[in-house]
Amino acid sequence: MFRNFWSGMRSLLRPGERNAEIAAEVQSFFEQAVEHRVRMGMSRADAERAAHAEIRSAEMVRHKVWAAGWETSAESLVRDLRYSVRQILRSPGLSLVAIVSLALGIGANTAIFTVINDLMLKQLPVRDPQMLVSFGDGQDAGIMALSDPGPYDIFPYDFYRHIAVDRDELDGIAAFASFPAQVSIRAASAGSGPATQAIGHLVSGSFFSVLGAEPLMGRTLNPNDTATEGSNAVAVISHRYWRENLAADPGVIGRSLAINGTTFVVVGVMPSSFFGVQLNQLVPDMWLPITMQPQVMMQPSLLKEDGLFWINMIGRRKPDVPVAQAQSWVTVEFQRFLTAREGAQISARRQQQISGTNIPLMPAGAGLSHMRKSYEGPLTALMIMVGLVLLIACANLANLLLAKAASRAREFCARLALGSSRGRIARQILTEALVLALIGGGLGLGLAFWATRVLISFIDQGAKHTALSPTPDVRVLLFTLGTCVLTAGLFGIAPALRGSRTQVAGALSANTRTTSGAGASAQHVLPKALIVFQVTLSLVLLTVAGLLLRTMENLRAQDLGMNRTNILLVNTNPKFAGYQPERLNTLYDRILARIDALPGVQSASMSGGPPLQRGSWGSPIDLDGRPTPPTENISALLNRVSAGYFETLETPLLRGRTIRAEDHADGVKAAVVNKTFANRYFPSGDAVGHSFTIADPGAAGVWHIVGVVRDSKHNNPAERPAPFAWLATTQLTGNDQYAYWIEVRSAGDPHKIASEVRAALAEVDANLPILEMKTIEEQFDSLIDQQRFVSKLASVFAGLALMLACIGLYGVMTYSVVRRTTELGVRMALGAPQVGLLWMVLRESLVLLAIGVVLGLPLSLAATQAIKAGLFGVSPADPVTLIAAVVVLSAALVTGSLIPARRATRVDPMTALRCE
Amino acid sequence: MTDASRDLVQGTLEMLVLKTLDLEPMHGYGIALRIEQVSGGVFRVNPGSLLPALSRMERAGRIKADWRISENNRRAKYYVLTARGRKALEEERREWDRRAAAIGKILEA
Repeated sequence: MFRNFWSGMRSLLRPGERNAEIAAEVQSFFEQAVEHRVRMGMSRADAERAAHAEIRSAEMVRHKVWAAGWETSAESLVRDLRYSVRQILRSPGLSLVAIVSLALGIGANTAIFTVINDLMLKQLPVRDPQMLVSFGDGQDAGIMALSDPGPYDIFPYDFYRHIAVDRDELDGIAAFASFPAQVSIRAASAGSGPATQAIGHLVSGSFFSVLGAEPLMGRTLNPNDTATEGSNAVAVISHRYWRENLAADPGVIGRSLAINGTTFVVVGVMPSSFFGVQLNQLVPDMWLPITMQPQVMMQPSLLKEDGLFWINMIGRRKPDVPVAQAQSWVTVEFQRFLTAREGAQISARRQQQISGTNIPLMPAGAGLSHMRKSYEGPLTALMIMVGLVLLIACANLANLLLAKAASRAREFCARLALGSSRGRIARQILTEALVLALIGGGLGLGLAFWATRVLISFIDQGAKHTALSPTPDVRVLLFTLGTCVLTAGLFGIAPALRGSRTQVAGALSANTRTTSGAGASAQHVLPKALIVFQVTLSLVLLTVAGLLLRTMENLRAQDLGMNRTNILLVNTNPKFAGYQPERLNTLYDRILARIDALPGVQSASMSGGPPLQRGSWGSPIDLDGRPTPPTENISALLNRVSAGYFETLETPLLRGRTIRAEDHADGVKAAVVNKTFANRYFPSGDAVGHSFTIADPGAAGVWHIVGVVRDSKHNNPAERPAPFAWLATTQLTGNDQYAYWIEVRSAGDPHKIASEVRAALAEVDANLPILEMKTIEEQFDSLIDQQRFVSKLASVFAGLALMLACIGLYGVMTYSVVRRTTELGVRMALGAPQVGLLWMVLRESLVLLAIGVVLGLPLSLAATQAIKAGLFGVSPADPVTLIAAVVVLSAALVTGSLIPARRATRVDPMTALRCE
Repeated sequence: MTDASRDLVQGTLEMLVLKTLDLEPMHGYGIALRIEQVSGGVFRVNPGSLLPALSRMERAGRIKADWRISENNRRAKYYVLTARGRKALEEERREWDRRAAAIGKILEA
């Protein structure tokens, strides 16, 4: 094989030598033939003639010998490439339009694919990621007390300790907090000084070894570090944190950091590609031993026996153990663990619940991610949409190249007459398409890089740093290359076939000015069919975009149960400033007093969680002292608030009163509930006056309902109302007494008072960190981020598709008018009115539009049915949206074809009829 | 019957060439002549088929070529069978026999 390669290369590089050799051999063959015949007795002249007859064409023999090697194909490929480039340069306008359309189409596809690659396909940068499995799908995050049957993905710490010792079925198990913790950092050398915040992730000592991640400097955590609670305060920091916050200090190993007041020692730095095991908006800055949980979270210990469920787990599979076996072992161990927890007495019902639990082991090579789950659907839909846009662009390009091939008919005929094969011509046209596609794809790659950055910043909601990267990796580059080749094939096939089927007779003649050229009707159907194709796809995209936009509007217009103008939200953390629960009430009073005093502030309040957020605190409850029967599910979502909360949000009060300053720590515990709570749990009569107890031990005591407010939305605008109760912050104790959010209602634009609020807080206590400051509108937007993402992009793609379809129609119409110049000239000369000519041309495009719409309607309905899950407040078959889409499409296309139609009316009969 | 040479499938032609060269090294015309003579005129190979086939076989390493002076004092490119070519000849010979036997059986049945 090598020999083949080398002789081929030699022939390519030294064609003269090779040619000479072949010619010599053919010549020698001829001479041998002559000599042989002469020896047989023929005269030399006869011998020569006979030999010529035998060889026939020496030229052809030489050509055949040359063609026997692979270098001919390579050589003709190079020749085709150079010719293609010349052809592309010959018609710069057409080529520019083609390249720009390709750049837009391929660039958009690559951008979406890069995001899909980052979020859904890329594997963690660790050893053998395909052997990693997660316990459950890892979607649950938070601190919970669970008992329901079904799949589990969140566990208590002692289950991890119980199962981690066994290495028979899985080659190592690691545990980590299901949510990252925000911590306050001070460089230990400076006793005081400004504190910064960082994101910490609590992990078990086996974390890094199970993942198979090696440190850049120093060491990672090992099981010794998590052997005992509260000791081994070590930290492994991320590359970015080391670079930006520790100035890439080469001596960072051994340095101390004061994390939430506890001194931790840095023992390792991870490489820049490592971001942990969770792909979410918050990227950890450091990994801390899980046994330091109380210090890092500033909360009571969750590590005890009978602890709450707050940990996700992953394991590394053993190559010889099938997944099903490991999975059943894990499930059995979990059921045993739950049974042991119940103690000696266990009810039959509880036993049944436990036996219904299971732990599915799922592939975790790409990490665990909440972002992935919420963006999976939208990204898939967008990938399909952007693929449709590319198809529309391909149809345009096919039309462009078809027109160009038609104008090159003479060239093709000449080549065919000179002996070229039809395949060769087709190949050359395809090569030209490929060159265009590669150039467009190259530009598109650059465009995609910029576009991906925009997309990522949207998905990340402006997080300062992210694990998602806009840089294309090998998979993305291969995808782009594949798209280029596929695109070239799609839009090159029709012109290639057309060009290779050029009929030699007729086209070579000088006079081609007839009203219809050779092979008329078949030739003109294809461009029109392509236009219809574009119209159909554009209608689908417009309808989908329209429905998504209306979904967005519906979500935005939802009544949230509060007046959501002019509210500023401030996120702080009294724990970072060292406040113990006993001092909190006075702190809250001071903060509210100071902020209320600001000019431009109408009212202020504080709460444990913000009025709108993704997650919730919740708990089962018992009403009026009656224990809840196990068959019933009586629970409520909870939040803790200061006085003035409902007044600040302007949530209407329906009965009773809201939380007041009089509800102090020693008084009767007051709670306000929403209408759903009142209607569901106290359907007859007034909820005010009743009471309930909360299962969550942090909110112990009897809570008396003092008021009922209107229902509001909490987690997302599309949710159904759930029972909600607000407790008075002052009447809680311990960890649950902390309030992290301040709501400020301003008289005017909330942004204007931001700096004053900041100053006011600094006055109260300079150590109070301002973690976040945003308006309630911005907070609301973050709840519907993926709907905003998909509706914005869908509209962009629909607009792009429409533009491409218009350009396409414009091109085809113009070409058609030019072709019909003679006919139009004759008509005008015979006295046809201008309007009649206009209508004649317009009618063509209207017919195409109509056919496209008729074909597109059922396709649109099918498409909207497919995205039904993402819609809110509109039905997939919504007629208003469909009609609007048709109207927009028609308006755009009619405008696009007006220009060529007007050209038709401007034809000068004299020029039209003149012979070329 | 100059058209008969087209009936020779490319693979069969190569096998015949290998066999011809098995006897002694030859130049292109000599090979064509030998095949025609031994087959009694049934197969006439024209240079348009033979020379490309020789080039392919040379690329594949089955034959080696060098320029020598022929018996009538003219330069000609002589081809020689290589060890690989000899092995290929045996394999193709076996394959051919197998096929011929199978066809024979079908025709007899």
